[in-house]
Amino acid sequence: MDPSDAPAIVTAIDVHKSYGPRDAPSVALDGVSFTIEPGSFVSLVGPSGSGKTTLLNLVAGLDVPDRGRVLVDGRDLATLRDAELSHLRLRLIGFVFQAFNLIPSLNVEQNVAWPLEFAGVRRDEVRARTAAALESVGVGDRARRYPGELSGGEQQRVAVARAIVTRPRLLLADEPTGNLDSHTGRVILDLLRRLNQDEHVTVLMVTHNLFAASYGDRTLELRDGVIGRDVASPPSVAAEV
Amino acid sequence: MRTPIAKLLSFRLAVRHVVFDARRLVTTVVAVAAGVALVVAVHGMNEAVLASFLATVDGLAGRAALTITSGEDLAFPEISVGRVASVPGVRLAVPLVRSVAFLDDGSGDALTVMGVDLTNESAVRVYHDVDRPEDVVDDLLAFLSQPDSIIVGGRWAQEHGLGVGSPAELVTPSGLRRFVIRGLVEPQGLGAALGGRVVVMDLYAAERAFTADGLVNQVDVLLDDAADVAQTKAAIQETLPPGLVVSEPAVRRDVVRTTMAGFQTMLLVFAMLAVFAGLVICYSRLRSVFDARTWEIGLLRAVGLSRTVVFVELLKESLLLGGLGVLVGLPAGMVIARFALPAFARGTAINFRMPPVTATLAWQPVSVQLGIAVGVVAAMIAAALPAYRIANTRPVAALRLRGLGAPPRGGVGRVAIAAACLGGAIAAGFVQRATDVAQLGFVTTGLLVAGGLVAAGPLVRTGAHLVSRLHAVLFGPVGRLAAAEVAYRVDRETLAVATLGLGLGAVLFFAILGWSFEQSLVAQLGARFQAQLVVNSAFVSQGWMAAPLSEDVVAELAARPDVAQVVAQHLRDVQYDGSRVSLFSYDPSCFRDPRVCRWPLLAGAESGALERVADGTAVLVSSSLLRERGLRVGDDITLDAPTGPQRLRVAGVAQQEPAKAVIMSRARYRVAWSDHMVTWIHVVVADPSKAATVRASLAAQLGSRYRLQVRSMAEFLAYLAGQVRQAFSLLYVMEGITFLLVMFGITDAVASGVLERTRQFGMMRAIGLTRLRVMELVLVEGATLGLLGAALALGIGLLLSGFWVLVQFPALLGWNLDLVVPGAFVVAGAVLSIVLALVGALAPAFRAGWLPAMAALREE
Repeated sequence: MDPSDAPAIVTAIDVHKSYGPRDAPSVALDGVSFTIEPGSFVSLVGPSGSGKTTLLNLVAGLDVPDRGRVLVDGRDLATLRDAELSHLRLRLIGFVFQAFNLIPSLNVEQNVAWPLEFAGVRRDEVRARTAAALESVGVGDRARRYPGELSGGEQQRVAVARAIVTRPRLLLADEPTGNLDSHTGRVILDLLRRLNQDEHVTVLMVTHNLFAASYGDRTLELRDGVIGRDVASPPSVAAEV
Repeated sequence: MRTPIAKLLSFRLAVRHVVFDARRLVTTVVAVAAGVALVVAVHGMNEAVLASFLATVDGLAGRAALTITSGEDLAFPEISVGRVASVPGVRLAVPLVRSVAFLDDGSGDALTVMGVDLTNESAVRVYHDVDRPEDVVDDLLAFLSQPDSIIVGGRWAQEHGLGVGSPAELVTPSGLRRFVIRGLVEPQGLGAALGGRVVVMDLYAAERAFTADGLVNQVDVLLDDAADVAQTKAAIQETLPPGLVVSEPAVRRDVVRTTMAGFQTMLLVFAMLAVFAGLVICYSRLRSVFDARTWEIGLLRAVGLSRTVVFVELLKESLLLGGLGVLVGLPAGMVIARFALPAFARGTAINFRMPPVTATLAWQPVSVQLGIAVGVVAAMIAAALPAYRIANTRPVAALRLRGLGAPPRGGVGRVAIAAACLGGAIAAGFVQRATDVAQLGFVTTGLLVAGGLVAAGPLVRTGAHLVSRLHAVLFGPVGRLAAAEVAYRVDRETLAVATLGLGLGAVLFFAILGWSFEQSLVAQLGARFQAQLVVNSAFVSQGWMAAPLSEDVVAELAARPDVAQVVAQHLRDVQYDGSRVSLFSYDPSCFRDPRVCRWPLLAGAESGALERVADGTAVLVSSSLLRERGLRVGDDITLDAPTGPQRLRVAGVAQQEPAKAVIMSRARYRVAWSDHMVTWIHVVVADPSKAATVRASLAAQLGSRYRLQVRSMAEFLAYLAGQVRQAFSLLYVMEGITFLLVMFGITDAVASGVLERTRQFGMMRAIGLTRLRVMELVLVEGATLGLLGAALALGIGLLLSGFWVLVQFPALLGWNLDLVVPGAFVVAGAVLSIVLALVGALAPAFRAGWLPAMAALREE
């Protein structure tokens, strides 16, 4: 099936979200609507406090909108129970965090393998897929190291490996290059780009960095809780990649 | 601008931090408070019980400067009084009869009987401050003319619904006797002694009821104001026949103090174990709190604060926390003491075979000072190392480091330290055996505890790896992850395991101590005594000992056709070579007739040893006495008796004698000590199958007359076991508080671990773990701590109890015990350790599972 013929993998319909006291709420999202097609690479940009991370958390099912609906893979997240949401996140969604969030007590291989183990995959398959994921991000030779022994770039690559080892259809990345230098950040972005192009993994990446945003083939700009612009990425940057 | 001193003394910053971190620091305050409460309670109760025993000595001595006794409360001729009165410097010599009687109302109240010459005003005034004896009785002539007249404590009489004119049936050593109350004495001096449980009667009536005409058992001496006490004492001693001793009441006070000192110190040391456990909890929590401020402290250092200033500020916080702990712990300790004092006093009386006392708490400054010192010092010690480490972290490292570090390495150092502690403890044990310095035992105890705590680290590291496979099989990926977390956070988990190990180890230690005591007594005495029945007074006079009976009972029992053999046994403490030993005397048949007693002796006994003991020409001794005094079989020992020094040959060593004791024939004892009383009577029935019938018949025939108790041997041994349990009831309070501390420590440790990993749990939830899986992870970690804690508790408990049962108890109290480990209790303890850890982990597990993932991910 051509990805362009598949239904949208993410659909947001008039999503509202506020925080804080009822009498003086802080509005994070004020009626956001969009769709994301399978296989696309969408950059979500905006200044600090624009609601980017809030939107990402709603798509991940970590939070529920005050009004509106968020559908992932055609399923309204608000109708799912916690266990179903967890199942969705474990099997359908991969998550890359700004702060890497590796488990310091596990070595690199174990950090990547544990989502598969909790998903009930057989041990030999876990081993094989873990090795493949580590190779694909270029840290296959670091399998026995611990997070504290890796550089920032290597840690983020391990985090990407962890995110993709479950073969998610949707990869959510929250400022994946925020804690990295420009060269290392570019390496990570290249990785994400390759996953998107070669594995047809849909990527939704939150960033405040326009260069990083140019890696997407579509940019959603959030400003004051609403989508200001929804444009294709600048062709010059995409061609460069 | 503030001066350096003002800055040093200012607690403003410390107060702010404590208030800000109040929720996290509650644990520290509670841990300090628990330790303070226990120490204050034990110290206060020790003082109260000691004071009550000393008050008894004082009350009974009255204003007498010197006291003449046979040394063992045995009767001697009144004729000595005249000799004493004629010694220069003696103003007054007051003869007394002292004994014990029981009110026959089923209460078991023991009454101290004092027979004094009530016609002698001066004699009365030695003990009671009244103008005339008639102020105590209405009609002195009527009182004296009726030999059944008694005076009792007014408050005591009121409590029992008695008054002047009331009859009072008292159980005396010679049986049940009827008296009439003809006077009441107010609660001061003599009346206040023993909580008013005093019976005063005329001297001559007392002689007839309790000793014999012309026999007294004490002479109190008042001296002229100008008389020299030491010289007069020596002069009096010269006039006395052998066997009588002149002593000063102050010396008796010293004897009581010395006797109880070792026991009370032991209780305080046990209380300090709880302080130690509290210290470990404090250390864990403070370390966690200080580590959480690493970044903040890095910032302060970066802008110019010195290490010393940071260190001092952190110590100030611990001082505040210690102070808060003391504020909570002091009143808590007083409340605990208030409720535990009766059991404490009872247990102490049982341990020392003393009459029961009514102890009253009177808080001395030293108890409060001790509590304050313990609380503040414990908090500061707990804070010192974490504060030093944080203060010395380089600013740039503190600013950059966010908890990601290399996995832990090493641990060889801790193993070496633990081994050194164990080696030191063994060496100290050997030195103690060689030198008999009992105080070394506390050093050994400290080394064992320290070694156990240090060994917790290597145990966690190694144990976590060992259980990883087991966890993988039992719990799948959750188990593997939990084991990895425990192994990684070894420093944190070590503290939790150390708390669990020390706390439950102490509980196991106390339990094995009590169980060994109980089972040793039952096994050793059960192997010795073979008769079917044991007869004794229904009343307890001192601690656990039955009240003495007249030996007339023995003759009555022996005359029965359904009784095949009767052996009387008596027990009293005597002085030997400067300290007290137990003197057990048995009728000769006990050494000849295996139907009554069996006497396994240690190798090396003289030929015909038992026969020689039976005919009174030799004695047996216990192995503890042999070892303590360096005696050998064939040596002679000399015991002072009223009839003169008794030179006795040691013919053998009793294999199963728990106490520090001399064992001899009662035939010789009753002559040498002029004592015809017995404590227990062993009865062999003619037809063993009819033992129950004989028992009922004995109770019917003699029970009402002498107020006797007739038990089967099994019941008798069970009674003694019960007395041991009561004596050890003092430790139950400590066990209870230690349990609570341990629970608290585990909950705190697991909660700290969850707090530190908030973001990690948020990440796990974001990636797809369910709430239940996260909870399961925390619970399995908790169970792992419980398992490792159980292993450590087993090690600490067994080592401590082994040392105390086999070395320290014999050294401190002279008891010779077998180490008996209650297997079921050990297993239950291990299970309890895991259950405690699980219960302690429940709340943190809920918290981890129900963390809002989003908020968790934002956590720094």
